[in-house]
Amino acid sequence: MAKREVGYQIPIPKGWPDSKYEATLQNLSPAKIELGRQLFYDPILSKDSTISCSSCHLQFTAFTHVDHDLSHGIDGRIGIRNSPVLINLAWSDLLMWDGAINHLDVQALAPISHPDEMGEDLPQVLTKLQGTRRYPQWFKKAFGSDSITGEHLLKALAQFQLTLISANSKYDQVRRGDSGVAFTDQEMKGYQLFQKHCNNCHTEPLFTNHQFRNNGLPVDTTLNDWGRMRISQSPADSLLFKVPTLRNIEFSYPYMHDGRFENLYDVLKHYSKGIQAHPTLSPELQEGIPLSSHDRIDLQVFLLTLTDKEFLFNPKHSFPR
Amino acid sequence: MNTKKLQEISVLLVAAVLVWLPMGNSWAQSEINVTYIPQFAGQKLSPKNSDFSYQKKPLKLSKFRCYVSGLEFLKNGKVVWKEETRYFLLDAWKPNTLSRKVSLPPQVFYDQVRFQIGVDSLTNVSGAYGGDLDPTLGMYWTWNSGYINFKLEGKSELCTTRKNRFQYHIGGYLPPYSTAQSVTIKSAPGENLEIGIYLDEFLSQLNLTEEPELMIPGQRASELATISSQIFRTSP
Repeated sequence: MAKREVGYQIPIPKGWPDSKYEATLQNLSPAKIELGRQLFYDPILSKDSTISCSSCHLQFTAFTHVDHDLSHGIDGRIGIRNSPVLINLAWSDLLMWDGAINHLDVQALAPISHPDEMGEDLPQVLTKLQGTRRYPQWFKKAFGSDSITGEHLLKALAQFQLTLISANSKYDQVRRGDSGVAFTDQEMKGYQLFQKHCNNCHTEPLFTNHQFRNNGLPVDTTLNDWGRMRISQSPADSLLFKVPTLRNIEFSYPYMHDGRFENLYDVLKHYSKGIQAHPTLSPELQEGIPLSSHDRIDLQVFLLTLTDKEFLFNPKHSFPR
Repeated sequence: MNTKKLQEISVLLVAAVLVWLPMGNSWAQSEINVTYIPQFAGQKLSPKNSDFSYQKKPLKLSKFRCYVSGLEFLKNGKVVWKEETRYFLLDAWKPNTLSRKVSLPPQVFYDQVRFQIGVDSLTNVSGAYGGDLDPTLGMYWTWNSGYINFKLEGKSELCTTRKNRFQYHIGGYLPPYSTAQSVTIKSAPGENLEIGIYLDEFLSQLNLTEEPELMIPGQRASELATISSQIFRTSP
């Protein structure tokens, strides 16, 4: 009988709301997290062993990919969406741009099995892992059994992702009152603009309200992606996508669900001048956001204070060496 | 007391014990067999018998699976005993999944048995489970969270789809289109439960040509789930 591992807690940032995974966060397992990290960085999860989770979710770019607008999968296949960042997922309610996934445990099923992503048959993943020399040992250490199951595979990946907490940006340091850290005048001006115009959806401290919104983007007719409506089948959800966190936005370009904007300048220009009317348009955006060119620069400067280098280069989240 | 009298008393005592023992057993814990029998047009479906005739054309079943759970024993409509909730994945291609033994405690008198088809909403939103609920067993959607409660696949010339396939993956937990169902059947203490699953009756409630597949949650899934619950009943 395997020795029962004693769980441990990750420090939760002060003043943050309760997470969706409170019980799990209270009792994390180092062995499960480590197993999850190994799996996250291992292309064995894909059909031809070329794509790992980290192929689209690179740590130093806020656990998303850059360089291209849409995610790439096996055999050079291209999906229809920009990969989302993996930050503070413990506070995330529904996952994916359209909220298709209702729990972090079962999120990995989608990319592993999707033909345009890892394209692998789920039982085959288990067979491949079971056939390695190392994984049965690691599963035994984490779960007490070297017989690899889907449940254990998914829970290990989820535990690793629960540890991806970003809470030490300059914004956080200012908010905590860390000594010697303060916003510049321009950052403060940007912060005030943010609170006035953006905080309703990109709500502090997580910089998302976890809801779905139509933010006035015209549909890309090469993709015809109607967002949340695909899941809910309700016309009221047409063109609604999940509000993403803005944490580490400096490094998570390109932006939007289809990666259509390459930089923050274009994003802010869209909100001030490019909003397209639609029956489901978010009420906050009916008139667009009135931002002068100076305001847009100030806002950008504030957004850069959401960069958390400790998170982006934390060796605990990195490729296991 | 003479010897003859003692012998008579001994015989009576032994007889009383012999009569009492089986009576006593009826008050002790009892065990019943619960068996599900998927069938099509009067024939039992099995890995070796999956070719049938439907509307005068050949029909081949290639998959039948569904979740059942929560056996409850009722007397006059009230639950008198229930099993600890556990999900069982029935698979017509794995005959050992179709039957099991259930141990009831003593003195449970019932006239009905109730069970659930499908996975409840709480389980659907609570992450990954193991055993029969392992999400890698082919009964969990990957593009949209949630269990498939009832899966029936096969081929029929009535279908104009690729390779004449029909596929029904019935699931969905969100109201108003939740698909978990409850089935109640008559039974009595000591009776084994033989529950027929009349799959041809499921197909007869839809048009195989016009609706050869359904693999998403929603209103139609909810309607087909109601139909699926009507095909479970004790064998005549």
